[in-house]
Amino acid sequence: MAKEKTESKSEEKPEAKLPNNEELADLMKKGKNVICGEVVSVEAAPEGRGKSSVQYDAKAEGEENPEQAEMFDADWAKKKQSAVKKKR
Amino acid sequence: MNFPNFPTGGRYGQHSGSARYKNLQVDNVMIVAGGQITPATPGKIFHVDGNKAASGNGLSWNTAFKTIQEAHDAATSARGDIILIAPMTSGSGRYNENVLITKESLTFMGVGGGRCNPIIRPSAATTKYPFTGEVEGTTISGCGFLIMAKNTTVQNLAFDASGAYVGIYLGDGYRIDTDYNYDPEFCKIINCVFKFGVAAIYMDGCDAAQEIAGCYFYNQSDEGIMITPGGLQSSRRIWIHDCAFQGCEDYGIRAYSHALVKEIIIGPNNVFLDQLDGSTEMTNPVLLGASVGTCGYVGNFECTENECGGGTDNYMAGNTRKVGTMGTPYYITEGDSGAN
Repeated sequence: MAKEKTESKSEEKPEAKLPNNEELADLMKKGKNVICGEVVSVEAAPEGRGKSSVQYDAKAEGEENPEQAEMFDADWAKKKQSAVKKKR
Repeated sequence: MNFPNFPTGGRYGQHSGSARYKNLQVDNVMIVAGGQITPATPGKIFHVDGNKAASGNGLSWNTAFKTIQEAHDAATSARGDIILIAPMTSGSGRYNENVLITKESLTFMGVGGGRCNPIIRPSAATTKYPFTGEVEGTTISGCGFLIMAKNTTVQNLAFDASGAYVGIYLGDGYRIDTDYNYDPEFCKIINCVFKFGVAAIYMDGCDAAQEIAGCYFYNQSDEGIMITPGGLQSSRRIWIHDCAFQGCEDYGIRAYSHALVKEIIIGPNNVFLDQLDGSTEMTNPVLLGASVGTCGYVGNFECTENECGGGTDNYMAGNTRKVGTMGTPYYITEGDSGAN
């Protein structure tokens, strides 16, 4: 009588840990991104992009730094409001 | 089940296993269908009028909310509530909001006259929800509508995303908060106007049955519609038809090169136009990334220097292309949306 096949525990992969907000920001600085739960390197932007963004004069319009270079500031996530109940 | 207040038997009694009751009061009906229990309560209509001095309960124009976010927060998810939005005639003439939409089956409907009324404009001063995202290397400062809920309909609205902004984000929410894992499906964006910004619509992780129809995309610095796989969800099953894309500097529609961006139907009756002044020529009307597959590009009209390109295993047929100019473009002016 043939032995019953036993399942290998090695096939059970642990669930990958996704980066939190700060780690995601750090990854994007390095040209990486999270796509469908996997950390991948993103392709370079094609040339010629974004020509008209300079037409908008944020300072003249009284806007507050629309480019928001500080978006990747380490504490940006702390600014988030948590008024909306998270799905999880 | 026992109904002691109702007589059973006799004329209104039980017959062959069925119960009949006279004057039975039912306060609420639960319909069980497809494994889901749905209350049979019809949706409510909420009103938004930014010209009001103060917010009311939103149930009439006289008691309207001042902001769209208030109406969303007052609505009930999955009931089919409708949010009517009046044009702004005071102040900046726009709703300077970043609206986070997490409740399902809501309809946001503008009720102003003209092409760009009412108009929503995200701005840094009102950005409540920072965004760890980018479109082709440009960091997004904020979005007008952040849609993460199923069955959301947006119609008859205009979005001015001047600067590093996006008109509508439609996705799993991961780039807003890595704790978010939404799954927006069956959303419709209908008869809206999008002006300027990095992208008009940024689809980032929305994997079932999105429809964009009858919209006009004008002079985005990168894309009219950018489609990327989200942080947690794929992006696929998207139908884009009967829209006009004019002077979107990189692409009218760009699908990021990834195997999980697929099943996109573009057409029929989309029109792609370069600007006549030559300063805002599209790189391509449509760019399907190299790994993007199982798409259809059918029955569209290109009036651009360059043609649709990219992708693998896609079906392209019945498209018409005219190189050069085609008369006065369909052009919106500052007067359509108020001064910046």
